[in-house]
Amino acid sequence: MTSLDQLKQTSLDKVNALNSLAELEKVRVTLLGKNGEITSELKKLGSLPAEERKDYGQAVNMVKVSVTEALETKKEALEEAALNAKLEAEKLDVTLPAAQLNVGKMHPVSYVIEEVEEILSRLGFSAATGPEVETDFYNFTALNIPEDHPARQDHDTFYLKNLDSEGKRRLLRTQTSNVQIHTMQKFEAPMRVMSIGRVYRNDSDLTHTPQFHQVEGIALDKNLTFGHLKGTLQTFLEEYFERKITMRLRPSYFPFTEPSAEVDIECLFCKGEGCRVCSHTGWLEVLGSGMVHRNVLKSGGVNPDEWQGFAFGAGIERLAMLKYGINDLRLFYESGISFLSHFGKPSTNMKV
Amino acid sequence: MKFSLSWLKEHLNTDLSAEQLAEKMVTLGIEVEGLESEGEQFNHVVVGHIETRVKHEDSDKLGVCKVHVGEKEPRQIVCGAPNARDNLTVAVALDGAVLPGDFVIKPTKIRGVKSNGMICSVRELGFGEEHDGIWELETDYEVGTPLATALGLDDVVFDVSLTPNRGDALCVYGIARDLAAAGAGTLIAPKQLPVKTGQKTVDVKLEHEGCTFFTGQMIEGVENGESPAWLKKRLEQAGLRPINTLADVTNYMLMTYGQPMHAYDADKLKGNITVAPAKGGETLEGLDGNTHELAAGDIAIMDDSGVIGLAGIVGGESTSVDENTKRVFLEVAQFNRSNIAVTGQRLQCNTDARYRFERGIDRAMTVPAALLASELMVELCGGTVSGIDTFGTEKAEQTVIEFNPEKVKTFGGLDIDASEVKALLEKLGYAVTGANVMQVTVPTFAQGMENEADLVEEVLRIKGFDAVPTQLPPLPKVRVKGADKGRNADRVARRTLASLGYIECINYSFINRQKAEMFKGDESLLELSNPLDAEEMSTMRPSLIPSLLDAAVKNIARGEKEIRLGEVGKTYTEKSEVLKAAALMAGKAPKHWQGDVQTSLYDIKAHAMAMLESLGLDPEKMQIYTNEQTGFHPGRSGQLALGKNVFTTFGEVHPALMKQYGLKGNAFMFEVNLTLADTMNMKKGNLFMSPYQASERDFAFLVSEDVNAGDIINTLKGVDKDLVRSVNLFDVYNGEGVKEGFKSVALSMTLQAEDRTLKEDEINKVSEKAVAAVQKRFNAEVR
Repeated sequence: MTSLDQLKQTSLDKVNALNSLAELEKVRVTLLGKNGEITSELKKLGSLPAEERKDYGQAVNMVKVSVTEALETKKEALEEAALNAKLEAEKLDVTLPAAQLNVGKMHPVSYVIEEVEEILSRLGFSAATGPEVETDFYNFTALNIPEDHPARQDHDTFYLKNLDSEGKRRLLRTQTSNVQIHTMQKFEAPMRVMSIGRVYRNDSDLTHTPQFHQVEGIALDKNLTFGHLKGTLQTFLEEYFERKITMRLRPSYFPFTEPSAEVDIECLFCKGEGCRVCSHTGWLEVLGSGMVHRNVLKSGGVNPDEWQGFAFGAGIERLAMLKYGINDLRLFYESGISFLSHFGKPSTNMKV
Repeated sequence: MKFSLSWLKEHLNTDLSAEQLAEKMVTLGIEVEGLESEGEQFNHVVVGHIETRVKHEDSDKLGVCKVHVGEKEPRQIVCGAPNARDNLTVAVALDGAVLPGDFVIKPTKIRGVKSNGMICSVRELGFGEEHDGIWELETDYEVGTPLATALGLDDVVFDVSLTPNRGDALCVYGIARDLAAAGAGTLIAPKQLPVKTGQKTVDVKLEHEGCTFFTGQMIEGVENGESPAWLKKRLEQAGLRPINTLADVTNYMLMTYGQPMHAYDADKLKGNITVAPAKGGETLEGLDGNTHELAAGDIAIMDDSGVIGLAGIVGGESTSVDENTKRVFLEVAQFNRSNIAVTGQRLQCNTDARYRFERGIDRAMTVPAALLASELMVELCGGTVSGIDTFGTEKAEQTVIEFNPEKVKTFGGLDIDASEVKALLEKLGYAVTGANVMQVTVPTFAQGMENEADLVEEVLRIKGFDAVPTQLPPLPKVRVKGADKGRNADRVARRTLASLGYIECINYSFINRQKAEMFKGDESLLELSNPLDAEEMSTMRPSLIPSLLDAAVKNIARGEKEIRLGEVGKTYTEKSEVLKAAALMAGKAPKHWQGDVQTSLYDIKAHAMAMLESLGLDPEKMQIYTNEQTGFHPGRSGQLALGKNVFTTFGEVHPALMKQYGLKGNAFMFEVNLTLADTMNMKKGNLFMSPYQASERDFAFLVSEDVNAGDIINTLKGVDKDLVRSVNLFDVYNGEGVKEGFKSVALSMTLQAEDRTLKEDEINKVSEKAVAAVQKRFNAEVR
């Protein structure tokens, strides 16, 4: 064995024996550094006879190449081992509970309002708002409910001790229909508006709370018919409940519409077979509706011989209960965190 | 209103079943709330006949009976009743019968002997309490007859509810008439009785404009007593209590024809009758057991003794018919609906008569019903009628509506021929003349029919609303804009509260007065005249804060530890309704292994600012006021405002308020005025983007403790508006090494230009200016 072969062998042995990156650097310097063993062999070239130089140079270079390669390989191996060791050392218990993050929730009434608003908006209805503290005129008289009308008794109205600036009796609105009149007075027909908000009735039991929410829509144009009312409601209900709906309209009576219809849908829970939710009738009452009464148009300053249209209204809580399976109305107003966390929705998870 | 199928069928010839009739009623707008088969508990229970009974081999008490139930062969039934014997007619429950207590009958074996059915006692069938042995039936029933039929319990009772416009259908005859018009049978018209004028034995003076027509009949020689079974049953099915025959007949006629009437014991009347306005203050012992005080203008029925009845509402005790009555004076009259409504409502007196007068009666039915009533009284109680006396005049004119039949299509959405429209209206009792424009005469029984829309409804009702094709209207060409004041702020605020980690609750708008009082500021509160709860729900809330505190208290009582509640809603004072959003952080976050989370004033401040930013405002550009605000800790609260427009108050809840509500620890809250935020339009500054390097300079100042950090920040920002991009306060320190009454404030200022990289000397110049400004304004030392 030549001395070069020997040099190569000992160099490779040294590299192979390495087990840390720090040592590796030292070994690299002793072999390939400025005064390293292999570098020194190359330096000898100058002192060799010209005819030997080429061969010897090549031989030394081959040693240098193999040792360099060996060093590279070793370095990679050591680096990988070091990374693995670091990862092992940094291991955490991911099953430990995460940091406390307060996930807020929107009240079921709020997100149902948003859903309803979105659907009606697509059907061409613009949102309108109005006061909750009202006068007799906007809540009753303008809606074709005169003073001695039996319908007034059904409303269980809350009255206020304070009169308004004109000395008129004030009340808490019993329905969102007051917004119809305000809107008609301020805007011109044709119009399609919806109003959603709090309403109040002096009644409290299993199925009534003194405050609840209503949605109401009114559409006025030249040619709107009862058939258009049916179409609008069918679409609204199917979009809201996200399924095919069997709808039934029953003749009814509301002073502000003529004809008037109660709207039932086939029970969502028993498919019309009869169950506890639908009181074994197979139907669920969800909306009131009808063609806007001439007297209401007149109260709003709209010419009833020129314009006609329909209106409808529903209880938001009722819609929420049916869609989301909430079975006790009173829970909406008890502010219980357990109820609200369960049935509430994060604001990032709205349907709209 | 309740009535039975057999009653209805006296006025309607029909082959339809009770269920089919009920379905038809629903489409006509008569809501059917209940449909009750009388003999329902007797399904699969039949009349049987015990031929023979022999003793059970394995029992002393049991017997084995051969029972005929109308089948080819008698059934074998094991029975333990002591009275079971040969040749006895009994009630037998067959397989499928469900007896009270959900006891299902099926073939079985009793001590090894097959038993196919059950011979029942009265109690076992839920028909009474008797349980001494099996029910021994009359022998004349045919074997196999359903027990319900044998007992006459195969009627069906409808329970219907009618809307206030359906005065026409508040009686059995009216329902039959509507069903007949809709093709569910043919109407059987009431018997026409001849009108014979009476002798005015009792004279009646009409002096109240609310009574224009009154009829009286004198019936002499009656024997009053208990009504026959059929009449009592009719009334009981209708939910009425039978009293005596004369009174029962008046109720029966009211239920049948919708015409209220009243029977006076003529021997108890003092002199003649006057119908006149009450003076006010008179009292009446009513038949309803209450003493009613009359008000001026009420329609009073009077004789020489004073008030004997409240017209159309309730009769008086003093002249009532009883078992000794021999002479009857029968009143059948018409009273004005609004008089009845006002009086009835004031007296809270709910009677069947009032209910019908308020909703309108058929004024053509007054005389016929009066004659039918007196005829029935004579039939049941004997005696003779002297004839009918009428006082005042019947209103003759009928409403005529000009009607374009095209409206059924252009308004109702149903495309049908004018001829069919005419036919349908005529079926309903309307008289129709003309073709393109019809003259439609409204029948006397129809209530509130005034215009074309009413007639369209009648046509659609009879055709069924289902017949109208469903059609989605085209989208409107114009949309209403600007009617939704506050709506956007409302929605944004709800979403923002949730995104900031608050649970949104909705509380009642009315709260406890004392709690409201605290937050009313300079305004007057709105108070309810008729609150549901005079203590806790009497006053409209001027702030959302009391509601949130109450909600927190409630939740803590239920075991919640950490409270983060928010609400969006209106607040009310005498002058205005203001939409607000509020949030409350109370209680304690649960302990965490990484260390407990502490909330502070600066968390709620961050949330209040985030809320304003969501609403499109720039809280960084607002002033911060630190005046004391109701409910807030005076040293740990502030307001964000632009001039006199205060958008929010935030801070720690005042310790005194915490104590008042019984809350422990520290709590933080904010309230934002959304109505104000909605009207405010803050302009955004120009976009600043620069590719050139930004530089930072840090400073530490020693200032008096009462210097506001915000003022130092603003001073630094103001040094060079073009170059100072931001100022970040990163440390406040007043511990060791800082002299008493002072604090050390450390800030970092970022400088950047839009058009060049800043040179060292430019930066130094701004920095020196900044230091000088802070030194000068706050008397600060540079550390």
